[in-house]
Amino acid sequence: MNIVSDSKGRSAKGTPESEITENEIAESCYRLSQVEKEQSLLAQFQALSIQHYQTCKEYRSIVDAYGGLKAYERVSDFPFLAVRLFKYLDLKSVAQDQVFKVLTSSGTTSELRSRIYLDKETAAKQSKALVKILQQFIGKQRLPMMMVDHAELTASPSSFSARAAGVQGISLFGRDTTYLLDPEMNLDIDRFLKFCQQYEGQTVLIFGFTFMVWQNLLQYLEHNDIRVSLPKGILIHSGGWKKLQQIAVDNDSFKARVKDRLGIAKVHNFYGMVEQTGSIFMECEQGVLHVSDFGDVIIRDASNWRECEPNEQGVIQVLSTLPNSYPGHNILTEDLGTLLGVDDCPCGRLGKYFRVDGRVSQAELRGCSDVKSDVNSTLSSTEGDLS
Amino acid sequence: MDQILVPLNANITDLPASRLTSAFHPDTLAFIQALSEKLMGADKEQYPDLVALGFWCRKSQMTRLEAEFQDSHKNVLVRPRGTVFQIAPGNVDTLFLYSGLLSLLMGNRTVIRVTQNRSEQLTELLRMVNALLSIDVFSIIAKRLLIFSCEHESAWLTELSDACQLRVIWGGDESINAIRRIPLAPSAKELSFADRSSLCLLNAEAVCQHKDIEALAADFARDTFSFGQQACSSPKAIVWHGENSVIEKAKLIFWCALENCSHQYLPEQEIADSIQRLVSIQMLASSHSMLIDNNKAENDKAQNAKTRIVRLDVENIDLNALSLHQGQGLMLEESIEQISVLASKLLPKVQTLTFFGYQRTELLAALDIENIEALDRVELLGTALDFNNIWDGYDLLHEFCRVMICG
Repeated sequence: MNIVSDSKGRSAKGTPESEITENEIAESCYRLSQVEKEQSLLAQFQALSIQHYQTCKEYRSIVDAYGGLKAYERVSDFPFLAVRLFKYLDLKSVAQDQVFKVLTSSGTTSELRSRIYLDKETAAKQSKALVKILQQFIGKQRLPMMMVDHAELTASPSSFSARAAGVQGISLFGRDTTYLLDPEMNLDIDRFLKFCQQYEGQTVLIFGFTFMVWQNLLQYLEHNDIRVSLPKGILIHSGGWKKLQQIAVDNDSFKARVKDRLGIAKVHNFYGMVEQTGSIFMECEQGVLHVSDFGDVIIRDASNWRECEPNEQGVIQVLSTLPNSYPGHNILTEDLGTLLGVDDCPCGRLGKYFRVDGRVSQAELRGCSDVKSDVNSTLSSTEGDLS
Repeated sequence: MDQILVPLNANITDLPASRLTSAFHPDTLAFIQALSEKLMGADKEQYPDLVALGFWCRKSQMTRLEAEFQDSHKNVLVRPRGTVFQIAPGNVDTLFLYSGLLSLLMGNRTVIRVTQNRSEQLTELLRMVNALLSIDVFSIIAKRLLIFSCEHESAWLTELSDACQLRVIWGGDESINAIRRIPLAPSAKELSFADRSSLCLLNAEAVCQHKDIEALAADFARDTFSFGQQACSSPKAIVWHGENSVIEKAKLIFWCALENCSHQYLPEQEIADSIQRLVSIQMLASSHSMLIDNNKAENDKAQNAKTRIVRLDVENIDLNALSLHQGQGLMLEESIEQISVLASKLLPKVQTLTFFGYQRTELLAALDIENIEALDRVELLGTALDFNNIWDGYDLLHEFCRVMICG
């Protein structure tokens, strides 16, 4: 089960595994072995399933179609919802007056967007989990921060895009936060250079969506032949690789170019989706994605939805213990992935680790006409939600 | 890409210059007969839809159509409409030629736009038509027939809409809405075939007593799963009629036989199909009281589970349930004790009711058919996909001509 470490990422930056101390692991959210975690999750998901069954009528109706709630023996036995349902239905497990914030997936105007209803409690749980997970990679101190985005993004308090939620969530780690883009997505190069100069030699944090880091920052620096040196910098990015894959940029070459232009070796991608904000899956120093104690990942064979073996590609199912206000605790995504191992990543984190292989490609749709199939061709994607 | 497919080397501007001919002209009949022979000679396994089309347009059928038509148009002069522009559907992609041939038969200039994602059968069909049109005797037909494919924004759609006397849109709804934005000439007429759904009514008692259950299942499978379950006439739901205990028994017999013969129609599902099916099931479940068939439940973890047909036992099948069903091996089922209950399910969007185990007259009476607003076809199980020149309530031969009164 050690396949990954040989082929992926390890050499890209020589970050030693010892960077995470024994102590940190002990209080981390990657401390439970899969066997221990299974027991803990079983109880949590049993409780969550009952709660949503009692409070969300659509969820109840769906579970009833499968024969009703049972005493499930394994985490993989719980019923899961197809992620597209959040685009078609208003799925809520609280009364409307309890809704404190509505998250929506990004997407073009013609596309339906997911709508995720948060109450205060769920929103708080999600930000706490996000903090806890990111602390394992960034540390606990607030760092001078650059956002590869624009400041107006988080202006509306009650309705949030997935991108805004990501920016806001991670901004908790920053101080003196500098937004690098204007609303037209142009890089303010003076602001960028001033920041780099001001915090030269210090630990700084950069966050942005993968494609925007690529297009709005790296491409600019490359075209104008600008290099800066932030050797203690940390880059966190997310949002899917689809657009970068189209121009043949993979994780390794992305990291190499970040190193070249920014001098940053510590680069972490994460996989997450608006339907499960908070319980994100961070890429470790070995270049693989880790499941935290806040949830689980199960890879499924689409022909009968059985659980795949390790190293067998399938559809990614994501579980999160965080959602109380909407039944998003157990979701089948439309992304493909592969479980790479359990409890034995050389980085020291316990639990499952996996890889995202891309989106499920749309089958040739032979609906009532080809006009219609054009309309339908934008399969909703969790991975693409943040891009 | 905008592309002329039939005849070879034709130009989109060639057509308007060609002359119309009289209805049932010997040249047209000869062409259709030659095509019929060619189609019926195709490999039945590989091109079942082509063989069916060939059978439908065989000589005796055309002769019958002509006789019926002449009989009902005795005292008038029948002329072609002119240029008939048809927009074929993407779901049943060989269907276009049925109505295309009827339009030719009536003497019209016939232009057909087919889908850009052509199936193997459609490609073969176009090849056969081209081969015939390249023969000298059929050059006169080649001047009246044009088949093409194009982008949704193509100028051809605008030009042909402006030039035609009749525009025929073979659904679905989104396609109709999109095409309708393109104006027609004031004198032109339009026929559109909107999205429809179909049901199958099974008499549980009759199924239990039927001797050849395999043949019944095979007929049902062909009705249902041809064209990837995308044909409007393919049933999306079975309505079981009878006492509950009898229905349970009938289901067992019927599904056992169906599982054995449906595989040839149901290809290996792609991942996107499996996900679409899950979405459909859960959307249905979120708003309907229903049970996913226990033996093949979507969350069945058993190895080698054959999940290609998933049965959903729905308490009250309505229009919403039918519209959520998008194929992928799904079949809705509902049980009723009285046929009269069925009438409430024959909603405006229901096109075909296939049935088994009833005398037609008895069934029509039980349905109180004269008071049902929807429904265009009540047909025997096994004939759901048989094309008829009367479709969705329109007599196509009649639509494809104009009637001149001369004293």
